[in-house]
Amino acid sequence: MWNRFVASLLLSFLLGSCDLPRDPEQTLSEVRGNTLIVGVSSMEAFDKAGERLVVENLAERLGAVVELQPGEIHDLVNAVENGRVHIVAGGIPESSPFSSKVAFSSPVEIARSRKTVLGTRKGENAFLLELNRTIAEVNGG
Amino acid sequence: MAEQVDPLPEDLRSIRRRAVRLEWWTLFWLGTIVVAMWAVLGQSQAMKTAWLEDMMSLIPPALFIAKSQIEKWPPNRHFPYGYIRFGTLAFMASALALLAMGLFLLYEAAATLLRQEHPTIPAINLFGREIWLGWLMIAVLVYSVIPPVSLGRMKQEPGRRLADKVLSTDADINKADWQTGLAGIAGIIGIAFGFWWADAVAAGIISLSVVKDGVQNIRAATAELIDGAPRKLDGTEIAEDAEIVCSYLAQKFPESRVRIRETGNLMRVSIDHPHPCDPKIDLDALRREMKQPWRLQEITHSFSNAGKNAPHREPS
Repeated sequence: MWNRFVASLLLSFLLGSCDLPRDPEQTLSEVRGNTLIVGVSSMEAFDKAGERLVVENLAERLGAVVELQPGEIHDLVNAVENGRVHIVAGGIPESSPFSSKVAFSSPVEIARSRKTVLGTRKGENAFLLELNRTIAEVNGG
Repeated sequence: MAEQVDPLPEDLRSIRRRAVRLEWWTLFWLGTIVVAMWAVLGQSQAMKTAWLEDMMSLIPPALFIAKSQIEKWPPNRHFPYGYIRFGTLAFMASALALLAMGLFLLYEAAATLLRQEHPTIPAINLFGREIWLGWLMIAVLVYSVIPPVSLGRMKQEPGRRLADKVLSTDADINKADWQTGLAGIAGIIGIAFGFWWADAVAAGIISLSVVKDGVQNIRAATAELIDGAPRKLDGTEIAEDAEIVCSYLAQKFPESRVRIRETGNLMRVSIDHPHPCDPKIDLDALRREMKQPWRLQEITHSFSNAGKNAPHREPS
């Protein structure tokens, strides 16, 4: 019993150290070394909340170029769902009703006045992990 | 309150006390598991299913503890046969709840698969690093298996000695918990490898086993509640002691109708004699043939024009 317990923990650590988790739709590998397409619903909120900083840091991390696509929030959510856009940003609050359609990142807490989140495609856990790591760095720094 | 009446013989009461203690421990450890799972739930359908199943498995221990007290209440005018069948009624109720929940979770798993929902499992900040929640879920699932399996093993023997269905099915469900843990872990590893459907499939497998448990328990409880013949602890076959008693009495009274049923874990026999005869039975001899002689609670004789070949209709 005890041996099995230790073995499972070791297994978890081993798995954690390779390239898992992976994206079902390969978002992370698509972005790496290419273009990070960000749909922005409100350029003003995008800057004010510090989301531009997050996005630029993430792109640098992945060796990608940022491409901003302004648009209307509903169109952008649709685009993220279909993978045409990698991130949707622009002052989305944590309480946004879009949480059922896109995966929310951890809150961006650079601007003390408002906490916002970025949206990614549901199920793309590797990409979300990189995004959350970037946000943690930016929040801390 | 009047003096308590205990259906169990003296030597089995310490076993029951131990069983009650084990069930209190079960409640405690399952409680910690439920809290740990709740902390890492996330969007995984398999985690949610395993969590709900563990919450439901808090019911049988609570039931056993309650029934151990209640069945000792003395009979009164309103309940002249006492409260020994309370346990079976509560057992049926919990089996129905289990079945309902299992079916609901099965539906949820199927719906998730059909909607092609990709579960998102984010990261959590631990000791300054962003760690994928999936690894934590796996760790919690591994932990969630250990207490139930150990406790299940410890409760099996008391369940058998006390001929207690609530206790022994609780022990069986606990012992089989490793299957739930394994399915949940497989689901999350599947997600880690990018197979989004692994989670819903794992949830489906877990809920199928919940449904199976629910159905089995309903069958066992039904048999007793409608005065069926006493069953074996782990299935629907007729209990050995019941067969022994029936064949012994049928031999002694070849023309009479011998019927046996169970109330709680005790057996009651009624013998219908077609014509007057000497109802004397050597109880000691009969009890010597039985594996668990204390279970034979009463033998009732009736004298009518009935007997073995009577039509099965209530007398008007």
